[in-house]
Amino acid sequence: MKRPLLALALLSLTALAQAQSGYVQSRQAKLQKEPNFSAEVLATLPRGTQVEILTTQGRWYQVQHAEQQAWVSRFLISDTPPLDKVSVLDEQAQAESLVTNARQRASAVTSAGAARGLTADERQRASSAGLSNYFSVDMMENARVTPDEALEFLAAGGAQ
Amino acid sequence: MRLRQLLPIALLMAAAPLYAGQDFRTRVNNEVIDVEDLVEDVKAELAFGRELAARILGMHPIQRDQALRRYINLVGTAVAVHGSRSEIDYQFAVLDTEEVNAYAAPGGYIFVTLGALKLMKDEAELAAVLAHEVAHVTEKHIVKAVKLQGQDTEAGSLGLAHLLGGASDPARIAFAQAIDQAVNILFEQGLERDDEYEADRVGTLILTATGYDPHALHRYLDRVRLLKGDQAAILTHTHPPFSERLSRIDALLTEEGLSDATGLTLADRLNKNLEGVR
Repeated sequence: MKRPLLALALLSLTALAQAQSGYVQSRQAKLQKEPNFSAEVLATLPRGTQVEILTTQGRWYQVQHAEQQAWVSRFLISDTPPLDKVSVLDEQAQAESLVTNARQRASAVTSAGAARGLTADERQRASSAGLSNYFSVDMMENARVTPDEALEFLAAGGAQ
Repeated sequence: MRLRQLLPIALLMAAAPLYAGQDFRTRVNNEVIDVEDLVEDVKAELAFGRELAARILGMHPIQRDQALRRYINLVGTAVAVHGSRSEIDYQFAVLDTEEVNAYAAPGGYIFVTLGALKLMKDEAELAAVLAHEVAHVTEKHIVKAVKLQGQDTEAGSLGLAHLLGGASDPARIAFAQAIDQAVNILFEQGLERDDEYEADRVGTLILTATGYDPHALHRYLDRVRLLKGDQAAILTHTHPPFSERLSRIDALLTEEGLSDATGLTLADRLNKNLEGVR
Protein backbone atom coordinates (compact mmCIF):
# COMPACT_ATOMS: atom_id res chain seq x y z
CA MET A 1 0.00 0.00 0.00
CA LYS A 2 2.84 2.33 0.93
CA ARG A 3 4.72 1.79 -2.27
CA PRO A 4 2.03 2.96 -4.69
CA LEU A 5 1.48 6.01 -2.47
CA LEU A 6 5.16 6.79 -2.47
CA ALA A 7 5.30 6.45 -6.22
CA LEU A 8 2.32 8.74 -6.57
CA ALA A 9 3.92 11.29 -4.27
CA LEU A 10 7.14 11.18 -6.27
CA LEU A 11 5.27 11.63 -9.50
CA SER A 12 3.40 14.62 -8.06
CA LEU A 13 6.68 16.12 -6.94
CA THR A 14 8.19 15.69 -10.37
CA ALA A 15 5.11 17.26 -11.91
CA LEU A 16 5.67 20.29 -9.68
CA ALA A 17 9.35 20.38 -10.51
CA GLN A 18 8.31 20.31 -14.16
CA ALA A 19 6.04 23.38 -13.89
CA GLN A 20 6.85 24.61 -17.32
CA SER A 21 8.71 27.85 -17.84
CA GLY A 22 7.86 30.18 -20.67
CA TYR A 23 9.71 33.21 -22.00
CA VAL A 24 8.39 36.38 -23.60
CA GLN A 25 9.53 36.37 -27.26
CA SER A 26 8.09 39.65 -28.49
CA ARG A 27 9.36 43.10 -27.49
CA GLN A 28 6.73 43.10 -24.77
CA ALA A 29 3.73 41.04 -23.65
CA LYS A 30 0.74 42.21 -21.69
CA LEU A 31 -0.20 40.34 -18.54
CA GLN A 32 -4.00 40.43 -18.40
CA LYS A 33 -6.58 39.72 -15.74
CA GLU A 34 -8.72 37.45 -17.95
CA PRO A 35 -7.86 35.35 -21.03
CA ASN A 36 -8.93 37.91 -23.63
CA PHE A 37 -7.46 41.04 -25.16
CA SER A 38 -10.07 43.39 -23.75
CA ALA A 39 -9.31 42.36 -20.15
CA GLU A 40 -7.54 44.69 -17.73
CA VAL A 41 -3.77 44.89 -18.26
CA LEU A 42 -2.00 44.13 -14.97
CA ALA A 43 1.58 44.52 -16.17
CA THR A 44 3.69 44.65 -19.32
CA LEU A 45 6.52 42.13 -19.43
CA PRO A 46 9.63 42.89 -21.51
CA ARG A 47 11.22 40.43 -23.95
CA GLY A 48 13.00 37.53 -22.24
CA THR A 49 10.92 37.65 -19.04
CA GLN A 50 10.50 34.17 -17.54
CA VAL A 51 7.05 33.10 -16.36
CA GLU A 52 5.77 29.83 -14.91
CA ILE A 53 2.95 28.37 -16.98
CA LEU A 54 0.10 27.14 -14.75
CA THR A 55 -2.69 26.23 -17.17
CA THR A 56 -3.69 26.59 -20.80
CA GLN A 57 -7.02 27.90 -21.98
CA GLY A 58 -7.57 28.28 -25.70
CA ARG A 59 -4.91 30.63 -27.03
CA TRP A 60 -3.91 31.82 -23.55
CA TYR A 61 -1.59 30.71 -20.78
CA GLN A 62 -2.33 31.36 -17.14
CA VAL A 63 1.05 32.24 -15.68
CA GLN A 64 2.67 33.03 -12.39
CA HIS A 65 4.91 36.06 -12.40
CA ALA A 66 6.19 38.12 -9.47
CA GLU A 67 3.60 36.72 -7.08
CA GLN A 68 0.67 37.38 -9.34
CA GLN A 69 -1.32 34.99 -11.46
CA ALA A 70 -2.58 36.36 -14.75
CA TRP A 71 -3.04 35.55 -18.43
CA VAL A 72 -0.78 36.06 -21.41
CA SER A 73 -1.37 35.30 -25.10
CA ARG A 74 0.31 32.03 -26.09
CA PHE A 75 1.65 33.32 -29.36
CA LEU A 76 4.06 35.61 -27.47
CA ILE A 77 5.49 32.86 -25.25
CA SER A 78 7.91 30.07 -26.10
CA ASP A 79 9.58 27.38 -24.01
CA THR A 80 13.07 28.67 -24.75
CA PRO A 81 14.56 32.11 -24.01
CA PRO A 82 14.63 34.39 -27.07
CA LEU A 83 17.75 34.13 -29.21
CA ASP A 84 20.08 37.06 -29.68
CA LYS A 85 19.87 38.81 -33.02
CA VAL A 86 21.09 36.52 -35.81
CA SER A 87 22.66 37.82 -38.99
CA VAL A 88 24.67 36.16 -41.74
CA LEU A 89 25.74 39.29 -43.56
CA ASP A 90 29.01 39.80 -41.66
CA GLU A 91 29.84 36.12 -41.25
CA GLN A 92 32.60 36.17 -43.83
CA ALA A 93 34.66 38.64 -41.79
CA GLN A 94 34.03 36.66 -38.63
CA ALA A 95 35.02 33.43 -40.33
CA GLU A 96 38.37 34.88 -41.26
CA SER A 97 39.15 36.25 -37.82
CA LEU A 98 37.95 33.40 -35.58
CA VAL A 99 40.81 31.34 -34.21
CA THR A 100 39.62 30.21 -30.78
CA ASN A 101 36.96 27.56 -31.16
CA ALA A 102 37.08 24.97 -33.90
CA ARG A 103 33.35 24.33 -33.86
CA GLN A 104 32.56 28.03 -33.94
CA ARG A 105 35.00 28.48 -36.79
CA ALA A 106 33.54 25.62 -38.81
CA SER A 107 30.06 26.86 -38.12
CA ALA A 108 30.91 30.39 -39.18
CA VAL A 109 32.55 29.20 -42.39
CA THR A 110 29.47 27.12 -43.16
CA SER A 111 27.26 30.12 -42.56
CA ALA A 112 29.44 32.33 -44.68
CA GLY A 113 28.80 29.83 -47.45
CA ALA A 114 25.16 29.97 -46.56
CA ALA A 115 25.19 33.74 -46.80
CA ARG A 116 26.23 33.32 -50.39
CA GLY A 117 23.61 30.61 -50.85
CA LEU A 118 24.65 29.91 -54.39
CA THR A 119 28.09 30.28 -55.96
CA ALA A 120 29.07 33.55 -57.60
CA ASP A 121 28.77 31.86 -61.00
CA GLU A 122 25.30 30.60 -60.25
CA ARG A 123 24.24 34.01 -59.05
CA GLN A 124 25.66 35.62 -62.15
CA ARG A 125 23.76 33.15 -64.35
CA ALA A 126 20.54 33.67 -62.38
CA SER A 127 20.92 37.45 -62.65
CA SER A 128 21.74 37.36 -66.37
CA ALA A 129 18.71 35.18 -67.02
CA GLY A 130 16.55 37.69 -65.15
CA LEU A 131 15.68 35.02 -62.59
CA SER A 132 17.15 36.75 -59.53
CA ASN A 133 17.80 40.36 -58.62
CA TYR A 134 20.42 40.75 -55.87
CA PHE A 135 20.78 44.47 -56.44
CA SER A 136 17.17 44.97 -55.34
CA VAL A 137 17.75 42.70 -52.32
CA ASP A 138 20.61 44.99 -51.27
CA MET A 139 18.33 47.98 -51.76
CA MET A 140 15.68 46.31 -49.61
CA GLU A 141 18.17 45.50 -46.83
CA ASN A 142 19.49 49.05 -46.83
CA ALA A 143 15.98 50.43 -46.24
CA ARG A 144 15.61 48.53 -42.96
CA VAL A 145 14.61 50.63 -39.92
CA THR A 146 15.37 49.99 -36.24
CA PRO A 147 12.69 48.82 -33.78
CA ASP A 148 13.10 52.10 -31.86
CA GLU A 149 12.41 54.16 -35.00
CA ALA A 150 9.34 52.04 -35.72
CA LEU A 151 7.98 52.38 -32.18
CA GLU A 152 8.51 56.14 -32.23
CA PHE A 153 6.58 56.24 -35.50
CA LEU A 154 3.82 54.14 -33.93
CA ALA A 155 3.62 56.47 -30.92
CA ALA A 156 3.40 59.46 -33.28
CA GLY A 157 0.31 57.80 -34.74
CA GLY A 158 -1.28 57.70 -31.30
CA ALA A 159 -0.35 54.20 -30.04
CA GLN A 160 -0.44 53.80 -26.27
CA MET B 1 9.70 -3.15 -7.60
CA ARG B 2 7.36 -0.70 -9.22
CA LEU B 3 9.00 2.12 -7.30
CA ARG B 4 12.41 1.02 -8.46
CA GLN B 5 11.22 1.14 -12.01
CA LEU B 6 9.62 4.51 -11.53
CA LEU B 7 12.47 6.15 -9.70
CA PRO B 8 14.86 6.61 -12.61
CA ILE B 9 12.02 7.97 -14.72
CA ALA B 10 10.94 10.30 -11.93
CA LEU B 11 14.49 11.52 -11.40
CA LEU B 12 14.91 12.11 -15.10
CA MET B 13 11.68 14.08 -15.22
CA ALA B 14 12.76 16.14 -12.23
CA ALA B 15 16.15 16.81 -13.78
CA ALA B 16 14.76 17.91 -17.16
CA PRO B 17 13.93 21.49 -16.12
CA LEU B 18 17.56 22.00 -15.06
CA TYR B 19 18.50 22.13 -18.71
CA ALA B 20 15.84 24.63 -19.61
CA GLY B 21 17.32 28.05 -20.03
CA GLN B 22 20.88 26.74 -19.83
CA ASP B 23 22.92 25.20 -22.59
CA PHE B 24 20.37 22.72 -23.78
CA ARG B 25 16.87 23.23 -25.08
CA THR B 26 14.12 20.79 -25.88
CA ARG B 27 12.33 20.85 -29.18
CA VAL B 28 8.72 19.88 -29.66
CA ASN B 29 9.74 16.34 -30.56
CA ASN B 30 11.80 16.15 -27.33
CA GLU B 31 15.05 15.94 -29.19
CA VAL B 32 17.67 17.68 -27.06
CA ILE B 33 19.73 20.20 -28.98
CA ASP B 34 21.89 23.11 -27.97
CA VAL B 35 21.43 26.78 -28.63
CA GLU B 36 24.10 26.80 -31.34
CA ASP B 37 21.94 24.46 -33.43
CA LEU B 38 19.01 26.84 -33.06
CA VAL B 39 21.22 29.69 -34.24
CA GLU B 40 22.37 27.55 -37.20
CA ASP B 41 18.72 26.93 -38.11
CA VAL B 42 18.10 30.67 -38.18
CA LYS B 43 21.22 31.28 -40.26
CA ALA B 44 20.06 28.66 -42.75
CA GLU B 45 16.68 30.34 -42.87
CA LEU B 46 18.21 33.78 -43.48
CA ALA B 47 20.40 32.51 -46.31
CA PHE B 48 17.49 30.70 -47.91
CA GLY B 49 15.18 33.69 -47.48
CA ARG B 50 17.68 36.00 -49.13
CA GLU B 51 17.89 33.80 -52.23
CA LEU B 52 14.11 33.51 -52.38
CA ALA B 53 13.79 37.31 -52.02
CA ALA B 54 16.16 37.70 -54.98
CA ARG B 55 13.89 35.42 -57.04
CA ILE B 56 10.78 37.37 -56.05
CA LEU B 57 12.55 40.60 -57.02
CA GLY B 58 13.56 38.96 -60.30
CA MET B 59 9.87 38.50 -61.09
CA HIS B 60 8.64 41.95 -60.05
CA PRO B 61 10.64 45.19 -59.89
CA ILE B 62 11.04 46.89 -56.52
CA GLN B 63 9.15 50.17 -56.09
CA ARG B 64 11.75 52.94 -55.75
CA ASP B 65 9.73 55.76 -54.15
CA GLN B 66 11.93 56.57 -51.14
CA ALA B 67 9.21 57.96 -48.87
CA LEU B 68 7.05 54.91 -49.50
CA ARG B 69 9.99 52.58 -48.92
CA ARG B 70 10.64 54.13 -45.49
CA TYR B 71 6.95 54.17 -44.62
CA ILE B 72 6.42 50.49 -45.37
CA ASN B 73 9.45 49.59 -43.25
CA LEU B 74 8.23 51.69 -40.33
CA VAL B 75 4.75 50.11 -40.36
CA GLY B 76 6.14 46.61 -40.96
CA THR B 77 8.81 46.81 -38.26
CA ALA B 78 6.32 48.22 -35.74
CA VAL B 79 4.19 45.14 -36.37
CA ALA B 80 7.10 42.67 -36.48
CA VAL B 81 8.51 43.67 -33.07
CA HIS B 82 5.16 42.64 -31.59
CA GLY B 83 5.54 39.17 -33.10
CA SER B 84 7.38 36.29 -31.52
CA ARG B 85 10.70 36.26 -33.38
CA SER B 86 12.91 39.10 -32.29
CA GLU B 87 16.12 37.32 -33.34
CA ILE B 88 15.72 38.36 -36.97
CA ASP B 89 15.71 41.73 -38.68
CA TYR B 90 12.71 42.18 -40.93
CA GLN B 91 12.75 44.18 -44.15
CA PHE B 92 9.82 45.22 -46.27
CA ALA B 93 9.48 46.25 -49.90
CA VAL B 94 6.74 47.24 -52.33
CA LEU B 95 6.61 45.31 -55.61
CA ASP B 96 5.81 47.50 -58.58
CA THR B 97 2.90 45.50 -60.03
CA GLU B 98 -0.85 46.01 -60.19
CA GLU B 99 -1.38 42.41 -59.09
CA VAL B 100 -2.98 42.35 -55.61
CA ASN B 101 -0.90 40.17 -53.28
CA ALA B 102 1.76 40.00 -50.57
CA TYR B 103 4.58 37.53 -50.01
CA ALA B 104 6.86 36.44 -47.19
CA ALA B 105 10.22 34.75 -47.62
CA PRO B 106 11.86 33.07 -44.63
CA GLY B 107 14.22 35.19 -42.57
CA GLY B 108 11.96 38.24 -42.64
CA TYR B 109 11.91 39.37 -46.31
CA ILE B 110 8.38 40.66 -46.81
CA PHE B 111 6.70 42.10 -49.88
CA VAL B 112 3.41 43.79 -50.66
CA THR B 113 2.35 44.77 -54.18
CA LEU B 114 1.48 48.28 -55.29
CA GLY B 115 -1.89 46.93 -56.46
CA ALA B 116 -2.65 45.78 -52.91
CA LEU B 117 -1.53 49.12 -51.43
CA LYS B 118 -3.87 51.04 -53.74
CA LEU B 119 -6.77 48.94 -52.52
CA MET B 120 -6.15 49.76 -48.85
CA LYS B 121 -8.21 52.38 -47.06
CA ASP B 122 -5.98 53.01 -44.06
CA GLU B 123 -2.67 52.18 -42.37
CA ALA B 124 -4.32 49.53 -40.19
CA GLU B 125 -5.09 47.50 -43.34
CA LEU B 126 -1.46 47.78 -44.47
CA ALA B 127 -0.35 46.72 -40.97
CA ALA B 128 -2.80 43.81 -41.14
CA VAL B 129 -1.46 42.49 -44.46
CA LEU B 130 2.13 42.83 -43.23
CA ALA B 131 1.17 41.13 -39.93
CA HIS B 132 -0.26 38.17 -41.90
CA GLU B 133 3.08 37.90 -43.74
CA VAL B 134 5.09 38.34 -40.51
CA ALA B 135 3.03 35.45 -39.08
CA HIS B 136 4.15 33.21 -41.98
CA VAL B 137 7.72 33.98 -40.84
CA THR B 138 7.12 33.58 -37.09
CA GLU B 139 5.35 30.24 -37.70
CA LYS B 140 8.07 29.20 -40.22
CA HIS B 141 5.60 27.97 -42.82
CA ILE B 142 7.96 27.94 -45.82
CA VAL B 143 10.83 26.64 -43.67
CA LYS B 144 8.67 23.67 -42.68
CA ALA B 145 7.33 23.15 -46.21
CA VAL B 146 10.85 22.74 -47.65
CA LYS B 147 12.18 21.08 -44.45
CA LEU B 148 14.96 23.60 -44.06
CA GLN B 149 17.28 23.66 -41.07
CA GLY B 150 20.90 24.20 -40.21
CA GLN B 151 21.86 20.68 -39.23
CA ASP B 152 20.97 17.23 -40.58
CA THR B 153 19.02 16.09 -37.54
CA GLU B 154 15.90 14.69 -39.13
CA ALA B 155 15.40 12.33 -42.01
CA GLY B 156 14.57 14.25 -45.14
CA SER B 157 15.52 17.64 -43.75
CA LEU B 158 17.57 20.01 -45.82
CA GLY B 159 20.65 20.49 -43.63
CA LEU B 160 22.39 23.59 -44.80
CA ALA B 161 25.67 22.56 -43.20
CA HIS B 162 25.60 19.40 -45.29
CA LEU B 163 24.44 21.18 -48.41
CA LEU B 164 27.07 23.86 -48.33
CA GLY B 165 29.82 22.24 -46.29
CA GLY B 166 31.39 20.51 -49.24
CA ALA B 167 29.93 22.88 -51.81
CA SER B 168 29.42 19.82 -53.97
CA ASP B 169 27.32 19.95 -57.10
CA PRO B 170 24.53 17.73 -55.70
CA ALA B 171 24.38 19.96 -52.61
CA ARG B 172 24.04 23.13 -54.64
CA ILE B 173 21.47 21.54 -56.90
CA ALA B 174 19.41 20.52 -53.85
CA PHE B 175 19.60 24.08 -52.54
CA ALA B 176 18.50 25.51 -55.89
CA GLN B 177 15.68 22.96 -56.09
CA ALA B 178 14.43 23.98 -52.65
CA ILE B 179 14.37 27.61 -53.80
CA ASP B 180 12.36 26.53 -56.87
CA GLN B 181 9.97 24.66 -54.61
CA ALA B 182 9.46 27.78 -52.46
CA VAL B 183 8.86 29.94 -55.56
CA ASN B 184 6.29 27.41 -56.68
CA ILE B 185 4.57 27.54 -53.28
CA LEU B 186 4.38 31.34 -53.34
CA PHE B 187 3.22 31.79 -56.94
CA GLU B 188 1.50 28.56 -57.98
CA GLN B 189 0.66 25.97 -55.41
CA GLY B 190 0.12 28.00 -52.23
CA LEU B 191 0.89 26.98 -48.67
CA GLU B 192 -1.25 24.49 -46.76
CA ARG B 193 -4.68 25.94 -46.02
CA ASP B 194 -4.10 25.55 -42.31
CA ASP B 195 -0.95 27.66 -42.62
CA GLU B 196 -2.98 30.46 -44.18
CA TYR B 197 -5.63 30.26 -41.47
CA GLU B 198 -2.89 30.32 -38.88
CA ALA B 199 -1.30 33.39 -40.51
CA ASP B 200 -4.71 35.15 -40.43
CA ARG B 201 -5.11 34.22 -36.77
CA VAL B 202 -1.59 35.05 -35.56
CA GLY B 203 -1.48 38.11 -37.85
CA THR B 204 -4.69 39.50 -36.36
CA LEU B 205 -3.34 38.96 -32.85
CA ILE B 206 -0.02 40.65 -33.71
CA LEU B 207 -1.98 43.52 -35.26
CA THR B 208 -4.01 43.88 -32.08
CA ALA B 209 -0.95 43.73 -29.84
CA THR B 210 0.62 46.50 -31.95
CA GLY B 211 -2.37 48.76 -31.29
CA TYR B 212 -4.06 48.78 -34.71
CA ASP B 213 -7.75 48.11 -35.40
CA PRO B 214 -8.22 44.33 -34.90
CA HIS B 215 -10.81 44.28 -37.72
CA ALA B 216 -8.43 45.61 -40.38
CA LEU B 217 -7.50 42.27 -42.01
CA HIS B 218 -11.15 41.33 -42.20
CA ARG B 219 -12.03 44.68 -43.82
CA TYR B 220 -9.26 44.38 -46.39
CA LEU B 221 -10.00 40.76 -47.38
CA ASP B 222 -13.68 41.57 -47.69
CA ARG B 223 -12.73 44.21 -50.28
CA VAL B 224 -10.29 41.98 -52.20
CA ARG B 225 -13.01 39.33 -52.40
CA LEU B 226 -15.14 41.67 -54.51
CA LEU B 227 -12.44 42.45 -57.09
CA LYS B 228 -13.41 41.75 -60.67
CA GLY B 229 -11.07 40.38 -63.32
CA ASP B 230 -7.77 38.66 -62.68
CA GLN B 231 -6.06 41.33 -60.54
CA ALA B 232 -6.07 39.02 -57.53
CA ALA B 233 -5.82 35.78 -59.51
CA ILE B 234 -2.64 34.48 -57.81
CA LEU B 235 -3.88 35.46 -54.35
CA THR B 236 -7.15 33.68 -55.00
CA HIS B 237 -5.72 30.41 -56.26
CA THR B 238 -2.91 30.19 -53.69
CA HIS B 239 -5.14 30.92 -50.66
CA PRO B 240 -8.25 29.33 -49.11
CA PRO B 241 -11.68 30.77 -50.05
CA PHE B 242 -12.29 34.29 -48.77
CA SER B 243 -15.61 33.29 -47.17
CA GLU B 244 -13.88 30.71 -44.98
CA ARG B 245 -11.04 33.06 -44.03
CA LEU B 246 -13.49 35.83 -43.12
CA SER B 247 -15.68 33.61 -41.00
CA ARG B 248 -12.67 32.25 -39.11
CA ILE B 249 -11.40 35.78 -38.42
CA ASP B 250 -14.88 36.71 -37.19
CA ALA B 251 -14.87 33.72 -34.84
CA LEU B 252 -11.40 34.63 -33.55
CA LEU B 253 -12.44 38.23 -32.82
CA THR B 254 -15.47 36.96 -30.91
CA GLU B 255 -13.49 34.38 -28.92
CA GLU B 256 -10.82 36.92 -27.99
CA GLY B 257 -13.32 39.55 -26.87
CA LEU B 258 -12.34 41.83 -29.76
CA SER B 259 -15.66 42.13 -31.60
CA ASP B 260 -16.23 45.67 -30.34
CA ALA B 261 -12.59 46.59 -29.86
CA THR B 262 -11.09 49.50 -31.76
CA GLY B 263 -7.54 50.59 -32.54
CA LEU B 264 -5.45 52.87 -34.72
CA THR B 265 -6.65 53.20 -38.33
CA LEU B 266 -4.67 56.22 -39.63
CA ALA B 267 -6.20 56.66 -43.08
CA ASP B 268 -4.61 60.09 -43.55
CA ARG B 269 -1.10 58.80 -42.90
CA LEU B 270 -1.51 56.01 -45.47
CA ASN B 271 -2.88 58.36 -48.10
CA LYS B 272 -0.13 60.91 -47.52
CA ASN B 273 2.55 58.25 -48.01
CA LEU B 274 0.92 56.87 -51.14
CA GLU B 275 0.75 60.30 -52.84
CA GLY B 276 3.84 59.61 -54.94
CA VAL B 277 2.51 56.38 -56.46
CA ARG B 278 -1.25 56.82 -56.76
